[in-house]
Formats: sequence, structure tokens, C-alpha cells
Amino acid sequence: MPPEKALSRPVLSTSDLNVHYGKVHAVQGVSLEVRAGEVVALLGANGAGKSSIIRSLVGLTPASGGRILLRDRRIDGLSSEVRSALGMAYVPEGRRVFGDLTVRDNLLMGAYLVKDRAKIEQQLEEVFGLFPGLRERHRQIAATLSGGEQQMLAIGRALVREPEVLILDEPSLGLAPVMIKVIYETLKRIRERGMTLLLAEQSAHIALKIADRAYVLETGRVTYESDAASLRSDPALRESYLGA
Amino acid sequence: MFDQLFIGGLATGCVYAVVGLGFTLVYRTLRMVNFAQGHVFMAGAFLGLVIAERVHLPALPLLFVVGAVAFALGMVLERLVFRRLYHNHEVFIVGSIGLGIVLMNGVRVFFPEPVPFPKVFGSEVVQIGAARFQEGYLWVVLSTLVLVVLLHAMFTYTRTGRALRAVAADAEIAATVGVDVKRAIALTFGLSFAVAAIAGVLIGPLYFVSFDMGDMVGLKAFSAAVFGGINSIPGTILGGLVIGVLENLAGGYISSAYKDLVAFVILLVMLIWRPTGLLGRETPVKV
Repeated sequence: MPPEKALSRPVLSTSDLNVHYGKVHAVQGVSLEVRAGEVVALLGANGAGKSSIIRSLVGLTPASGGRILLRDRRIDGLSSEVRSALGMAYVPEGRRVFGDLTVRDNLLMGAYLVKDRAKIEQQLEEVFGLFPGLRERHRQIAATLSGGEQQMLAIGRALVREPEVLILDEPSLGLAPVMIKVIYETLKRIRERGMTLLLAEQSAHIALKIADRAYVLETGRVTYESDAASLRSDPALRESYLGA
Repeated sequence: MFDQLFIGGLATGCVYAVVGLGFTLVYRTLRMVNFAQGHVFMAGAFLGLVIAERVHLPALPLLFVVGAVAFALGMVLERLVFRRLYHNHEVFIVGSIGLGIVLMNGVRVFFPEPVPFPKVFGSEVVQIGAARFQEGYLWVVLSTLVLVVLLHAMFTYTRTGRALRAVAADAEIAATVGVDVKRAIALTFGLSFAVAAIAGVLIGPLYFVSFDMGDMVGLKAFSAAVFGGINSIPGTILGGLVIGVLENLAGGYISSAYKDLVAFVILLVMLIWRPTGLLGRETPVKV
């Protein structure tokens, strides 16, 4: 991790986070930190609790215990729309673009809380700069885009209002390898602009290419936490914690 | 005779289409059917009647005031009643039927017998081709056209309209981009109440108004929405027009006794042949 990131204060953090679905204890006392400008990966197999953590961070699944802080503000009791207004942006698993809306309307929904029209247009241009394909298809109904294009749109929708932290749930899921490469190249560019990213991924080798740090999850608990370089370079660690 | 029946059917079909739009707006957002919609149409007619008799408002302000009052009532009832029923579709259906019965009997207390509606849209007879009809029929058709254009413009070009469409597409994700979903749902109910109440005022001067007038119109508007595709606004409008015209033609050429049958035969055929309706699409069930 670059020293300046190590010194910076957490943008987003949880302490002793718990999530229950009925009697199922999906997230068990997870504490994590994401510092300004950092890319943090949540790694683990299907069912490890990654999506439950992400959903509770963005306010879609209530935490049954623990705290979530955005900067120094406690947000675990706030609704999704308020968390969004405070600077969180979410790219959901499965993309979930607004299928009946055009590409442009989807992006405008991403900027729903931005009132300044000139600012909105400027941000749309930024997104079109990152994803030129979206500019060409800006009048197209989102449901008719390919999976990869929908993922670009979902990321563009989250970026369009310059969030403080971008939270992505399985951005590579269901995409062709060539499209995964495009998406991750773009995430790298976003990272280079200083954006803070939290990334849940089942495919550890992909996420570790851009992550600064990683948390490995098993059955709802953090079982290992380290800088991504260690996980990348140590096959024994990868084998022990990620089975790869 | 055909022209006469066609234009009469078109006007009735416009009413089915507008009341049906209320079903569609709520269904798109909640995947639930508000069976109080027909009774809101009836209540709108009586609200228009009271305002027209007491305040003597001209036609356009009358439509606007009734629409605005119904819009506010829809938002209030969403907060007080409907919001408590969302958790279960069956509960919602029974609750909305119950609310409709309350509305109907509430009006019945004050108006136990059918009453004439003031001729707020004029009483001139207009001739187009061989067809002669009351001026009110033109008001119904033109007002429907204006309503549809306004709704289309609102949904397409305004921030609020986009937000309502986003909530209809995926409420959870709409919340994560900052939309107040509860408020969006309340606005949807407000709009559905407003369009139904306006339809009530439009049809009022053409017939007598009575506390039970919403029963059949509500069912036919629902049939129109299912026929066209209950999640499709253009489909519902098309469905309303087709049912209105066909039932009027059947009433004229076969027998008026069979007029009401047409809507329900069309509904049955559509449910068997194409349950998603003419222009509707399958929508995933919200969980």
C-alpha cells in the first residue's frame, strides 16, 4: 500500500458488523476499513458473505449488529437514499440497469441528486470518455444492451455524480473474459483518478490485479487480511485462503 | 350508424383507457392491482358534481381542481392505507377492494339515487360525417389525448418522471441512486387517483352519476389494462379504445344486452391466448 494511503483516514469502515437472514447468521462480526484512494477487495467463495456485507453497507440489507461509518458519520441506521446522498455509489451484482430506460436516462438517474445541469452534462461527458460505447448507444433502451455494455452502464451510472466511495459487487460475474478485461482496465483508470473503491469478487486473481488490500471471507467471517501484493506474490497464501 | 357507434365507443374507450392507466401506473411500480380504481373514478365524478354545483367552475378549471384534489387524496390514502398492505399481494387486493367499498358507501350516504351532472362541457350537438353526438364526447376524447401527452411528457422529460420509471423498473436500485422510493410510490398513487377522478368528471355530464357507477367501469378498465398489457401505458390506452369501440358496436349491431359481455370475453380470450397482453412484457416478480 502506498504510504500516503496507509496514513489517510478511513472513508468507509465497519466494526463488528453482523447480518442475519432469519436464523442464518450471514455476516459475523466483520470489521474492515477502506481508506481514501484505496482499492480494497472482499474475496471469498460463493456464500462467504461478500454480497451481504456490500448490501448492508449500501443500506439494502439491515445490519443486525455493529457499526458502519462513512467518514466519521455513523450510517447504519440510514436509508439507501441518504447513504447515496452522503457519497456512496453502488454497482450491484447482476448489473441491474433500469431496463426500460435509455442509456442516457440511466446515467441521468445516477446523477439524480445533482441539481446543476451543467455539472450533470460535464459528468456525462466524463462517463462517455471512459465508456465511448455508451455515447454511441445513449438513446438505446438499456435492456437491449449486451451484458458487458450493461456492466459499463451500471458503473457509469454509479460514477456520474462523483461519489466519495464506489462499491462494486461481483463486476466480472457472467461476463466474457474480453469484457472482464475491459471492465478492469476501466476500474484501473478510475483508481488512477484517486477514486476509493470497495470490490467484492469471487475471482480473486482478477480483483488482486487492481487491489491495494484484501479481506478474505469464509462463512461470514474475515479469515485473512493483508495487502494485495502479498496475496498476489505468495502462492502458498493464495492456496490456503483462496484455493487458487 | 357505424360512425355514430364508433365515436360513442371511442369516448367510452377513452374513459376505460384513462381509468385503466391508474391500474397500470400502480401495477408497474408495485406489481399489485388496486381494485379501488373504479370507485375512485366514481368519487371523482361526485367531487366534480359537488364543485360544479356549488362553485360553478367552468370545464377546464373543474377538471384541474378535481385532478388536484384526487391527487392529494391518493397520496394521503397511500400513506394511511396502501402502505400498510404492500407486504402481501392478497392482502393488498382485499384491502383495495375494501377501500373501494368504503368509498362507494361513503358516497351512497349522500347520494343514494342517481343524479344528473351539470352540462359543464356544453350541450351542443356536433356533427362529424354522418355521426351526431353531444359536445361532451369531444371533451372526453380531447381531454384523454391531452392527459396522455402530458403523462408521456412527464415520464419522459422530467426528473420526477424518470425517477418514477426507475422505481417501476427496480425500486431497490432506484433507492441506491438517491430516489425516495416511498415518496415515488405515493406520487404514483396520486397520479392514478387524479386520472381516474378526471375520467369521472368527463363521463359525468354524458350520463347520470351514481354511487355504483365505478363497479362496471373499474372492471372494464381493468380488462382494458390486461388486454393491452397491464405494465404498458400504450397497451392500456389501446386496450381501452378497442374495448370501448367493440362493445359499442356489439351493443348497436347485436343487442345492448350483450354490450357488457364484450369486455369480459376479450379479457378471457387474452388471459388464455396471451396473458401478458398485446403490448405487455413479462416482468420479474419482486422479492
